[in-house]
Amino acid sequence: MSEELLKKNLERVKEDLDDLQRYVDELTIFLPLPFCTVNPLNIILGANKSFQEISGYNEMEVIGNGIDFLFLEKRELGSFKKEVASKKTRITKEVTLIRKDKKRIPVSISALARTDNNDDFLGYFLTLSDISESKKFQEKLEEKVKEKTRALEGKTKELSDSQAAILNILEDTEESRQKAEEERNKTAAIIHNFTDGILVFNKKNILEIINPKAESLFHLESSEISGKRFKSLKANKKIKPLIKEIAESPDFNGKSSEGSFRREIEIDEGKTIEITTVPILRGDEKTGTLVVLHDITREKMVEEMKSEFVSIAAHQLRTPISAMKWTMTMLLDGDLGDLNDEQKDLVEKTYASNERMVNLINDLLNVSRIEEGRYLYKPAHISFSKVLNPVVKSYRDEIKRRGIKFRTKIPKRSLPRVAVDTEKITLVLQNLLDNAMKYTPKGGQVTLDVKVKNKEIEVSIRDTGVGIPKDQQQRLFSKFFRAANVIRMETEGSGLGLFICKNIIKAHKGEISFESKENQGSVFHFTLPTIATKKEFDDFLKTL
Amino acid sequence: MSKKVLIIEDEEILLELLEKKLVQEGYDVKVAKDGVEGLEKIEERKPDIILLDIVMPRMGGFEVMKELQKKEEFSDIPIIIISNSGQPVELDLAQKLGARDWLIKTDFDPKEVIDKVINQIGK
Repeated sequence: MSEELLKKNLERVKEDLDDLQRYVDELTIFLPLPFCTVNPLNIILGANKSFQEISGYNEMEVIGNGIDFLFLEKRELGSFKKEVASKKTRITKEVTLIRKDKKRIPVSISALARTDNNDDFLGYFLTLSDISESKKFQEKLEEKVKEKTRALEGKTKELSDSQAAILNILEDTEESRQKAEEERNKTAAIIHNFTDGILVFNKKNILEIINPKAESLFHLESSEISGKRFKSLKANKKIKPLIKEIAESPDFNGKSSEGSFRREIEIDEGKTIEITTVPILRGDEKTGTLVVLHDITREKMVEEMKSEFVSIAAHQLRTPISAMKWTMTMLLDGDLGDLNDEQKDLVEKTYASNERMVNLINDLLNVSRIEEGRYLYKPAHISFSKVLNPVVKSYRDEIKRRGIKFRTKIPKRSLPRVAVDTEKITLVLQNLLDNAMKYTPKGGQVTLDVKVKNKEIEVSIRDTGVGIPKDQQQRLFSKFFRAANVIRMETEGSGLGLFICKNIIKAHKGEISFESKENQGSVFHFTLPTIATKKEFDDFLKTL
Repeated sequence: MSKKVLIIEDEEILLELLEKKLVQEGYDVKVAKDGVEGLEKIEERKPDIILLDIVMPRMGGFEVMKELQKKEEFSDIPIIIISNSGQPVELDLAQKLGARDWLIKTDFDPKEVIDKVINQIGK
């Protein structure tokens, strides 16, 4: 090849190279990515337009300077440079760029080593990218993350607090539950072991509980009847007598239920049980019905024995008393010869004492009958005049004899008919007139007043006697009660008279009451329902 | 001819007093101290009325009435009970057995008993 041709080729290669150089220069200048070329000694050899913009230096100000002056983290750059020289691959690091105007901006630097054909290190390209936005974003992100974390921590604390609270509540609930369970078990044990039979019906009248005692009273198993409706229980023959009886209780017949309902029924082997039904109330609301079965067989037996005892005792007491009474009567009548005045006086006094004994025994017997609940014996349908007139007649003289005025205000016509046991109502009239007479001093007055009202007769017996002390009035109708002022003036009296009166009037469906002022007198009123027709009388008998 | 009265009563003094009073009133009186003796006296001679106690040894008043009910010839004799007992059940039973009256001895004196007798059978 000629020198000419060689020269020519060289020229062309030179031109090509220049073109390439220009091309690269233009490209680098034009590239938006800031970058500079650095030699193996870390001296900047060139920088493009973007680099000048980001750093604030022009090209001449940076060329020939080591890269360190551009960055804040000088020490860390040492290792970066070493790494670039050895690795010969792309290395990236975040550092802070110090601009010419001293402003610091975070940047990410990347370096790529340049080598020749022999793989010798020729220097490197260093590119920068502004990461202040992403840094800001990252900081913001971190701040947000921190904020969220704090909030989360707060929430977690709250959660753990409320978790502890929930645990406490659960603990308390468990405790209450155990207590309730204990109470329930205790109640169940009481019901189970109770000596009375117990049945519990719920609000819908379904039998919920029957205890062993009730089971044994009716010879049945709880499984036979438990959980059944009240009405369907009648189908069970064993318990039917009980159900029939309590069906009349206000707790089961749907009428108002106030207080308790009591009945007695006889079941097998001569056993008598007392049934009580009681509404189970929670506040004002009825939540069920309790039925209690109390075995009163023994009480019944004792009651019968008591009644028998009273009867025998009365008989035994009356026999000698009647002997004395009859003897003295005949002595006084002269049937056994004449008595002198002194003898007659003594026998009269003894006779009076004996009569007191007679009355006392009669009172005791009456009380015993009242307590047996069979006092009203055979009421008759008669005019009240038939009861009243003989009593008034027998008392008129006796009261006058004591120096007391006796006034009566009784309607002239025959009085309406009543349903009374003549003997008992006579006793009431006698007791009230006796009291009025006994406790009224000479010169006083006893008034008997009869008023016919709508559906009833009212009898009032008024006296001007000693009266009843106010503080003792409420006990007046009690058994064996005698007011303090009358005990002082008259030792006689069993304290049973008014108790008997009250029970007789009550048994006749009447009312008895009184008003009294000490030292001024008393007035006793009693009423009896008037019974006009035979039908009314029959209806009345049914209510006894 | 005097009306015949039989008193069956175990309390001697009452028996004695009542007999005395009835005799004074002009009645023909027989007495018995218990039910068994009473029935014998009735067999011997049918009385016009019987005054009968209830609680007595050997045989009480209710048994006497039951025995009399069994014999037609005696079932129509009027009977007045004189007793110091007097429970309602006893009154019921006496009425069923045909007693005309029930007198509690402490509540009546001999004169009143005689009045009841006169009421039933006259003098």
